[in-house]
Amino acid sequence: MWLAISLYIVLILVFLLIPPLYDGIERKIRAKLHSRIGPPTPLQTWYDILKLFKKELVITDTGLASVLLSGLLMATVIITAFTLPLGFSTPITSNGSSLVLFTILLIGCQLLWVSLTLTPGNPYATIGVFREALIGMINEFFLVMGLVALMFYTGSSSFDGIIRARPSLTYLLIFALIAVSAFIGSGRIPYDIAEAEPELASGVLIEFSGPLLGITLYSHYLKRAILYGLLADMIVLPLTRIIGIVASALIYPVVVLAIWIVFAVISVMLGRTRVDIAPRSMLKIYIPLTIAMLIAWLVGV
Amino acid sequence: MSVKEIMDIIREKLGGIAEDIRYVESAGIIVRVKPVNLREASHIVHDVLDAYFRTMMAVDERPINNTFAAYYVYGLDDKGINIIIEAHADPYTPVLPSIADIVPAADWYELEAWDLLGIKFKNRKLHRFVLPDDWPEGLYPLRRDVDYTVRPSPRITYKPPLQGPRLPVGPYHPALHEPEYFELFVEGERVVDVEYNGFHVHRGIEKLAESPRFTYQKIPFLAERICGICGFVHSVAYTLSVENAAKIEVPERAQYIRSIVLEVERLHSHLLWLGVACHLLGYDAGFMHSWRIREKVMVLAELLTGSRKTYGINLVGGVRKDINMDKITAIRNTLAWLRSEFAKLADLVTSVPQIVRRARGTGILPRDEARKLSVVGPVARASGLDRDVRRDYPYCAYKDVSFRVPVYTEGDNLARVMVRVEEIFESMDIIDQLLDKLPGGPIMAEKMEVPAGLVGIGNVEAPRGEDIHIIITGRGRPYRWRVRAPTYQNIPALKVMLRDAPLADAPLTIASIDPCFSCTDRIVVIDLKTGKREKLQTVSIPGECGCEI
Repeated sequence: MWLAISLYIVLILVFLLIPPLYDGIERKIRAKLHSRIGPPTPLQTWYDILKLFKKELVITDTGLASVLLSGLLMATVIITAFTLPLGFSTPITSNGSSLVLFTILLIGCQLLWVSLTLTPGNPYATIGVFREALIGMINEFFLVMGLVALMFYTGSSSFDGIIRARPSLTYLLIFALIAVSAFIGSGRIPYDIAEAEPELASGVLIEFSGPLLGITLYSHYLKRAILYGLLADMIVLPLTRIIGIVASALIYPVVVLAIWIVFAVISVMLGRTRVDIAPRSMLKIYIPLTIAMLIAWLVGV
Repeated sequence: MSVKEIMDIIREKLGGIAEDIRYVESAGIIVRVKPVNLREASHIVHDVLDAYFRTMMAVDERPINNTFAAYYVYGLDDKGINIIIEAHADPYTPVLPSIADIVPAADWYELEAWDLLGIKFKNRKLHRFVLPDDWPEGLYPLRRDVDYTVRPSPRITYKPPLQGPRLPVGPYHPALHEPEYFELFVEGERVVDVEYNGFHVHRGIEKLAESPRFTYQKIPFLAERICGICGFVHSVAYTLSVENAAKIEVPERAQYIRSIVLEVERLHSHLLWLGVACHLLGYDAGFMHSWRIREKVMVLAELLTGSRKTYGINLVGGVRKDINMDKITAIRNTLAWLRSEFAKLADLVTSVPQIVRRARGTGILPRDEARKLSVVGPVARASGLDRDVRRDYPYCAYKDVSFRVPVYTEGDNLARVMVRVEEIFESMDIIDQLLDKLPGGPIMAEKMEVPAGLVGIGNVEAPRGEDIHIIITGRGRPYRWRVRAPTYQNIPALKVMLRDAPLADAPLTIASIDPCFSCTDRIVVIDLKTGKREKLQTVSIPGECGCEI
């Protein structure tokens, strides 16, 4: 028990600190694939965020709402991180409804992100936020569907159900469904159209600067880590029965990093989509995947 | 068809309204008409003879013949000859009939002639175009009696704030890498109309070239600073116009060296553009690798000329730097590497699903619209117009090489990508042929004399399209030097290309003409008490990257 609590405290602190580091590692890898040098150190994203926090706060007329919502967003994302098992079951995540709570908080993060980016009223941001909302609506639907399927498959609304999950095609397809929604939900190319620098000049982020941008970026990276952490849990939690919680806790950040890098490499190979093409391309992936998942479930493989 | 046969046709069609028809080898067939007959002559040449509108030069000829003159240059591309309609206007109240409704491509030229020379065009709306809004009324900088050092005080102007659902793209915007301003009228994510506001950085280079600070041999260096991407193109177009006017015999070896450097410049420009297009479509891997390959071309340019850009090797009468065997070997090695690397990159870029889906069927410029606007370069070739100055009006050593002109009929962004991709391969083949045939001999003309009062046209197929310079020679320097960069001819087509297009594709569509804007700035002064904004014209400084004159 005490071991689990100690491990959890260490790991949650690590988990809250590593998203900007992982982004820094991603930037170095992306640079390598681009045949350029990239940032001087993997800590560069942390340095960038810290520098933003040192800058003065410049806000628009509606800046107060932006400040309040950005604070609320960061708090919600951090709380969501606390509800995520970090490779092993914890007192919080072994709760009977932990997966439901996590799902609700994750949707809350997305809603707060949309609300925050709507506050500046800038035309670029407004167009960006509508793109975000459109992509988000479709993506969240399938993310929730994947999580509900996971609950039914494991027979539990708790993360502990995943520990008991047996490897099967159905489990793999549920994982694939959640992985696709995690990829899209993390705002990566080709689905980063809310920011879409060339036409929208950073879109939803255009009016944010200084500490406000620092908070927003940190929340974004942490949310990305949570989504990838969920996938990592689907891989690592079933292994805890075999390798024990210490080993699970140790490999967990590595698995999150591996997922982070795989997604980064995929996005390097693709271009940006368009708002009218994106929903169609998403449905072309989601619908066959959902049907395959249902068939596999019904067949029992 | 011989010049005589073409002259006969022109006499037949225009004989009734022409005051004079003459052939000038350095320019083309010049038809002088009275202003009252200008519209009819324009209609016959543009619509009946099916000639492309190439450029127009307005000139203050009061010191010569007490008139303002306008020279409308049309091109019979398939015959490789120009037809120039010359019209003269009154020296006190210069007025000419507008031909913009007959020749839509002439629209900007009329506005510019009004702005810079004060020539009025009847039956059309005239407004400030090149000069800043606060430039004083009635001061026309290209008139001979206005000194090039004039720096007038700005007049106070007021522009009402913009209304309606507009989305500004510019003057500083990540999609535009130079200052330019497009106002996109949007309905949701769809562009319903577009307004263009350009010439933010007019530098007055044409006027500067007429000043005592410049001579014929200094102007190639000024011309090269018109653009930081295709500067050598401007330098060569200028020298060709002078050499044609003065009948200067340029050594064959110099012609070959010019052609080789022009193709090196095209390689670098197209690779740069392809990278930018990939970036605009969010495919940064393509962007970086395109520029990685381009870097080798820049190194090659440095080896050949001593500079990565703004080469400075061109002069009236020849070039300043020769090519030796070491350089020939270096060029061949670079080309071999480039062929293999670029083939891989081209395959990769054209297989990325987002690039193909976003470029196909967007930014369409139909063939008839392209024809009406006489667009040039890859924009024309992607819309089914088989135009290339290198083949149609051969210059330098292009008459000695064979090459294919890629033409697509789709008129969309993908077609413009494909034209440029194929042109990169063609450029490499052209350089190979030029190296195979490189003749010996001197690289500078031995005798050079430029008498006053001659007309000459120099045209070069720039990476962005036809670049055309016209010159009227003066004593020691041009009496008038008219530069028309390809972007000038292509920007009006953006109105057609952007209308009803998705907003997301607007940056790519704008970039697809490979626009080239200039880079000297104007200052905006904001009165902090009243919040009023005033624009000031800065002193003209030749910039390094950008192209509008």
